[in-house]
Amino acid sequence: MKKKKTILRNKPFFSHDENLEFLKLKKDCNQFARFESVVKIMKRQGATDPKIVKECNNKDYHVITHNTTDFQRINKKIKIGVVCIGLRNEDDWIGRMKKLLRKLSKHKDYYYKNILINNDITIYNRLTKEVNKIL
Amino acid sequence: MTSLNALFNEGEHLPLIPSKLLRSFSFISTDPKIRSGWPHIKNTRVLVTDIFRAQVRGNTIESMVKDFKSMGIKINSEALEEAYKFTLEWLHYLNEKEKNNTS
Repeated sequence: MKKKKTILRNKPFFSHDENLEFLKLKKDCNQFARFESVVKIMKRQGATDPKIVKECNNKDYHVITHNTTDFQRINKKIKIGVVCIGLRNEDDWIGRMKKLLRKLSKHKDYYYKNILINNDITIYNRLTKEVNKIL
Repeated sequence: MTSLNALFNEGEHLPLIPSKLLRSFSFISTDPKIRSGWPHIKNTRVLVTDIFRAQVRGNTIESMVKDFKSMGIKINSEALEEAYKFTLEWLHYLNEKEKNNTS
């Protein structure tokens, strides 16, 4: 039987939503994490939110999105982390994203976490229900 | 909340979209399972308000088509132009509604 090839994930692997601003994130934070467009992961564009979560979980990619409501309501079986960006100005949130990537630098650091980036960064652990803030 | 705030702080509250407006733009649609039901370009997850914001910031239609292509997203220039016009008309509709409510 052919062995399934597994990619080692030291730095975090993220799937970003269909937004132009994520191109700047990719440029600025390339050294801290790997960013892949959700279209490339789903192999189609215009996928629905629940399908994205399921597929990214299967392929082990954490999700970055501007959708701060639907992506936070996640099934207990889902392992991947979800980073929701509440700020609209990329000059504000990319700096905070860098801060987060320095704090949580490994792929495994994001498992079972909902992270909300606003004026501060709120990290909610879906397993332990623990809440942490990075100012 | 002003109509400008309502439209450009995509949060839990989705401002009213007149069905007539949706019907008159063939490239625009809404789906509750995509970006909380906010209007987007058909067959994509790209919000009309994001396109409007990008154009206001100085991005040209051509550069946006190229940038989307680099992300693996196929969008034509007509769809981007419609997204911009749709947002303008939506904003105009919300402004009118707000004026009527205050007077």
